[in-house]
Amino acid sequence: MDEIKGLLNKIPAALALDNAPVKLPEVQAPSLEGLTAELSPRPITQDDLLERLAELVRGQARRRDRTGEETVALGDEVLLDTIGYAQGRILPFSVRENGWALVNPDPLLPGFYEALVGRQVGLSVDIALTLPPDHPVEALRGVPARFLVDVKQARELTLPDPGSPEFIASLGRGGTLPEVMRHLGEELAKERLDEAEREAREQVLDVLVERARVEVPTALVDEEIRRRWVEAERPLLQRKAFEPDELQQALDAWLQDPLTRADAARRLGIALVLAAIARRDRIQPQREALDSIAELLTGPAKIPREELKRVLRSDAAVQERLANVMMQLAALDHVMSKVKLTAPGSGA
Amino acid sequence: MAPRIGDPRPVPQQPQPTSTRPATPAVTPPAARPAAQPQTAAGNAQAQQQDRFDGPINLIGRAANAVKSVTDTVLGLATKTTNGQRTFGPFNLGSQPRSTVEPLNTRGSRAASVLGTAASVAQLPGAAYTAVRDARNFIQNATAENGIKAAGSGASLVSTAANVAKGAIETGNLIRNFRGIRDAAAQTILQRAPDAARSVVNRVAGEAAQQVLDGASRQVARGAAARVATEGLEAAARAGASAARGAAPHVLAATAGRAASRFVPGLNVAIAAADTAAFGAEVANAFRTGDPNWGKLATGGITALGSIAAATNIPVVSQVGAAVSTVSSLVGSFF
Repeated sequence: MDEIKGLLNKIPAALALDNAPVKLPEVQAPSLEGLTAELSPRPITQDDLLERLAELVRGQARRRDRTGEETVALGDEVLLDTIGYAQGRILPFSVRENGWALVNPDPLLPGFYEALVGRQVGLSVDIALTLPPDHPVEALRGVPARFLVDVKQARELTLPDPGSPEFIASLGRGGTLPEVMRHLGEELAKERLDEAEREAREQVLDVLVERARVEVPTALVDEEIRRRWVEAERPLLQRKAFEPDELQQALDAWLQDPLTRADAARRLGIALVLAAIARRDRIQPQREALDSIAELLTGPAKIPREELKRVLRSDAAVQERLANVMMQLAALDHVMSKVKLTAPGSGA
Repeated sequence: MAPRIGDPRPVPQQPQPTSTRPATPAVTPPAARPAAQPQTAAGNAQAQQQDRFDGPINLIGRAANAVKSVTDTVLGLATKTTNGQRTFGPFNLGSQPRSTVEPLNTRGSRAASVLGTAASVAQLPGAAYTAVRDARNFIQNATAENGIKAAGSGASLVSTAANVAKGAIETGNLIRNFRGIRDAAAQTILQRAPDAARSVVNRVAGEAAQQVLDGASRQVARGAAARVATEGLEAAARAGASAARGAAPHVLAATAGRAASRFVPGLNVAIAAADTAAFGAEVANAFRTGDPNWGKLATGGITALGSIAAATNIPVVSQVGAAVSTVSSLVGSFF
């Protein structure tokens, strides 16, 4: 037995068993008294409206698949597999499979999309570039990076004229361009409010984590990130025949990324606090949640109802995930029921 | 003639908006539109009533719509058969009559990228590349030249990053700071570099956009006032609507797409759309292979929906209440 344990301990984290039990810290449920959050939507700009219309124009473009004899042109859509490297290791979250992108110069990746122009469809490209000095991740500013890219497919786009009656009619948002823009303004206004409410919810959750003085152990953060990586990236890398040391390198890239760590710690803090509140206030999952989840799984996911029934009844991993999600949502609803929303400027 | 991408770009005729936040516009009646937001106290009451009935059902239901929207996007884009050879990953000559494509993603080319050295294999036919260089020898040679220096530099950076993260974990205020950093970075990702579509739109629709700007801004202010005014109603209903509305499908689709194409680390897990995109890819893959793993699909869908409704990825390792038995009984009564 000890020998088996010893062998298990030698397995790299990247290949470790995925369901090893973890010890969660004890957290006291915080008070829900006096919770307030400010509802402060961002204003809409002319740029926002034009960007929204541009997305619709792109969406209505006529698309033609390029043949294997053709080359990629500026403005094409391309289907890419990618992996990026920077600072001597895999760039976290740069491993992508079957991702569509617009071939258009992007200041965040200077030279990346330009390097695809003129490449034959079906070939691979090695792109070296320097990340810009204003990159959103501070540690990557001005850093050299390399990307290995497979150009798997390309489509030529022919854009409609946004002022043409045919295009306007196709949008179903009024008969004239001003009417279309007014519709877009209304849609954006609603999205701004949605965004503000989501922000208010995040404020509340942060306050609860502070009230509860949650301390998330480093080992728990490591394990959360590892399991996320196991779900999101490892299967892809294994399909591409990455070797064990490369898998470990990929996992390390996630584990060592400061934003990823901070995000995981925050999510864990929130979950621990909500769990404590759910226990104290005896929160129960809601049947309505199950209805909608089942609707999603039998609808867009096209899982036959009989198969879904079998999976939900017999697959322990699915049951656990379902229970976790339903309880988290029920606890979140309960917390938000105690919150007083305030108008901008009145203080949260 | 319709404009094509790649045509010379016209210079935008409209002034660009400033990034500063304007003063909150006055709340005035909107331009006549039957579907506009409530304009009066009675209208507000109607909105409150609507919120009251939105409830938890809508929390999940609207999140499900958001998931569906993004999933459809992924499906629409990802299910076509590719031209040419699929190359990333295991070497595969396939049956294409034309010259084959070498996967850059061989052990050797990956190692070269780690070290920042030129792989010199871009667009080389695969057979030539593998004949000239054995992958493992390539790695060893490259390591001898640059490996120690690269490893040392990486370790130092790792140490600094870990310390920064540790601080953010232990102090509440720093968690808020982290959220600020994350949100600012996410905002950068969402900014779209001008492309052909945008250039044409600027020229054609700039004036129309300017004309509706005031009305749209007033609508935002009115909407905020209406939602705040629901205070005092059953807050559970408000919370349900709140969480659901946070899952605007369009925003999530855009976020998922842009974050994915820009390879910015750390933010992917901070944005709920990542789970949705992963789910969409899983569904697409299941259709493509014709051999779906129902358990995996179900797990992906549940995770995506939970992330969107809660506006954050729900941790994998934690359990909010260990209610498996309760959920099992719900499942039992469901079928």
